[in-house]
Amino acid sequence: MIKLSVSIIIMYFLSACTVVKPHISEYMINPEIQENNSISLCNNRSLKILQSFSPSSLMSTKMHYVLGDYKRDSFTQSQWAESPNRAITNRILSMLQNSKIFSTVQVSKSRTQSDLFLETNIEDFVQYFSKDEKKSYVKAIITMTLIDTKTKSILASKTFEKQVESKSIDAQGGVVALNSALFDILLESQQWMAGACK
Amino acid sequence: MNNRVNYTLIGFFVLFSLSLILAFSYWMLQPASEEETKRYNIYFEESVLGLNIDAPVKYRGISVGKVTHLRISPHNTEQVEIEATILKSTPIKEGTVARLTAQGITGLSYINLTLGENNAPELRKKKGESYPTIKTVPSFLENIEQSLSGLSVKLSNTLSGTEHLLEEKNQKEMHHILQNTANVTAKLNKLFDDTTIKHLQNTSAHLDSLTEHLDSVILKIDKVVPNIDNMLNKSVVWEDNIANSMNAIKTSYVGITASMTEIKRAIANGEFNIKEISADVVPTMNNTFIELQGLMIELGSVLKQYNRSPSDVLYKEEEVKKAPGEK
Repeated sequence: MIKLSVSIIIMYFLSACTVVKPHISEYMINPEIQENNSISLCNNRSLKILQSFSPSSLMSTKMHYVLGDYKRDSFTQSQWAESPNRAITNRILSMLQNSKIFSTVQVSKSRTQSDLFLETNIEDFVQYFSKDEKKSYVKAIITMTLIDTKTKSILASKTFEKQVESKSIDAQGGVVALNSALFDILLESQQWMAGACK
Repeated sequence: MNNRVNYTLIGFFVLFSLSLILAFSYWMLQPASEEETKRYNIYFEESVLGLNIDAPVKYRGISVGKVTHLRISPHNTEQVEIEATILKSTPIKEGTVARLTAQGITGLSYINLTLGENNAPELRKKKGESYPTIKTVPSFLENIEQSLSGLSVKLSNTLSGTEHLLEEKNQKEMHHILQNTANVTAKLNKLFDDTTIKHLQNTSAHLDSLTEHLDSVILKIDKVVPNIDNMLNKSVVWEDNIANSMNAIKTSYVGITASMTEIKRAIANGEFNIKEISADVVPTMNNTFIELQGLMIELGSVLKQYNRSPSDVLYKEEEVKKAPGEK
């Protein structure tokens, strides 16, 4: 009798496993990175990129969107392959490693010492929909700050803000637009950082 | 219809029923048990004037029996032997005594029983006795008679002593003593004149005042002494605590000194390089904290979902709202 009861309870709980969930598409943040050809004033200084600061919504793989002025929700069939915070930090690292602006570029995990730190604050990286869901755009706001490790003083700081219209009124259109916006920001930040060391 | 009747069985049944009825009737009608009585002997060494056969025996004013036999004791002619019948329920104990008591002014008497010690054992028949014997105490009149007799003897003795005291020789001695006393009194009169008595009164007043002051001082001392005792006790405890604390501090200090010596030695030998250790540990810890932050955010999201819809954790019952562009 006890065995039967236990079996029924187990079956009841296992029945939860039969819930059918819709397929979820994962999207990447992977803008095309271009090499920098401009002359850099920082090419004799090493840089360490710190983990970006961001709102907690950008630290999970849930893909959030804003509907109208105030409504915020997340996509049920789409999500990020990697959290935007981590992905953007990695893209900045890749961009700077390829650009040859600094003598060396290290991640925050590195045990080496560097001349400069790069602090990144991701303020916005979300897709916006109009109330009637007929229009959509994305907004990306990222602030970058170069810090002298010896004096702990700010060497240079700049906020990059981009707004790009979505080509389609869905998550995929938003992802394409966000990648495009990030590409623009990375390109602008390259030029800014090349001239940051005076 | 069966006419073969078993008369034996019927007879047996009738007899059995009758015996049952009889037993029940007996039980119902059985007479109430008579209060049983017990006989006792009482020996008085005084006149039992006014005590007759059927005279009551009382215990604390309640009639508990009667005198059934009355005669001069055949064993001792100075005693009167009385046989009394007393209810069994009366607590006649070893300490119970009988006293002959006059019944008002009628001249009749009765026997009054007085219970002795409550826990005393029950009075039992002794060897050679036909019934248990209750002890007696003299009656009131007997007591008076005995007392008067004693008084007259003592009075006679006193008179004889007085006579002996007032002999001629003693009278002379007395005269001499009285003369000496008169002399002493005269001297005392001279000694204690008014001034001396005044001085004595003043001294006495001062002594009174001094005594009052001493009393108040003693009262204050009485109040202070417990406080001093308490303070001394507390100071002893306090000193013990301080001693313990100092010992603990000393032990800690010795431990710290040993640790510092060891750390100095380790640093001197290059075994303990904080900078090197922190260079290894800090970035790792930093990354761990970042991972932990991500985990906390995920956990927060799950808890939020669970709070919103607890059953959703198992059954996904919450209605899912499709995002723009989702089918």
